[in-house]
Amino acid sequence: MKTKQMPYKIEEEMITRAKYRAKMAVREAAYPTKPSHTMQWRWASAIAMVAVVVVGAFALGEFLYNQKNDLSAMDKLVAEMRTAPDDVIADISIDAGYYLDDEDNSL
Amino acid sequence: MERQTDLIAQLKSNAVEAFDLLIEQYGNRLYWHIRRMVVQHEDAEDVMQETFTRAYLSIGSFRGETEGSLVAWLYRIATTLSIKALRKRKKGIFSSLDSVRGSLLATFEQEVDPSADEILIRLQKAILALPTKQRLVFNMRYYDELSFEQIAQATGHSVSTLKTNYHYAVQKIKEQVRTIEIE
Repeated sequence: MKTKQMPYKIEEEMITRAKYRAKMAVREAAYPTKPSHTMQWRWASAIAMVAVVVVGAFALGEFLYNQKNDLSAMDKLVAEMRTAPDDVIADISIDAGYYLDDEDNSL
Repeated sequence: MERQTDLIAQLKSNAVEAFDLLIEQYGNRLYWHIRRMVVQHEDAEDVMQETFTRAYLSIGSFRGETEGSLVAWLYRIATTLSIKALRKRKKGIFSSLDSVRGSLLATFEQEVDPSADEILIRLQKAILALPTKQRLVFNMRYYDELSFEQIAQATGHSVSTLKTNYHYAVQKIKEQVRTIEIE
């Protein structure tokens, strides 16, 4: 059958390329290059991904909680030291190793 | 004839080389059938690729033994996929498939060869202005020279419906071409 003339911008190589693409697509369907993952594999990877996200979120929460608690303990100590009498401050400072042996503490 | 029977037998055994032969033999015809439906070359290329992939994957469901039935079967796949491609162009979910006519005409203006014969351009514009079913029947009968029986196999419509649609299409094209001439 002779193709009737069509008024489109067309070059013969465009149809040749279309046919080549079709041949390649059939080959791709016949011999898939990438092995398709099974349903079980997809489920397992999804569960593993959720587990990683949950563990990560938990660890981050724990870290932030500890940091916040450390800061509030420090604030409490500073507030106590501001209002405490001098002898108490001296005791606390000794406990904390504030005065070093070789340091000159004379006023 | 014998060669065709051999080809069908090879196709049914899913031999990739037989599909190469099929693409060589019917690629041009199917490309133009699809192109006349979707107008744009890139879309036609995509639909053609999908057509032969589907043919490969569903050759098991092909029950025909003759070249005529093979052609009708290929046209059926290509037509279904062309209409699917046209549906993607629709603006709203509830708008009809015929609402894409404006967009097809606009695409045709970009794809037309300015050096082409004026009468061919007019004819194409008149065809693109037809409702989808009439356009499909007209193209398959006039350009692809398929029998009404083959078109019926390819589209799933009855022969009498197709003949009526073809008759209306011819009338409208005549009127349209005349209107364009007067303008």
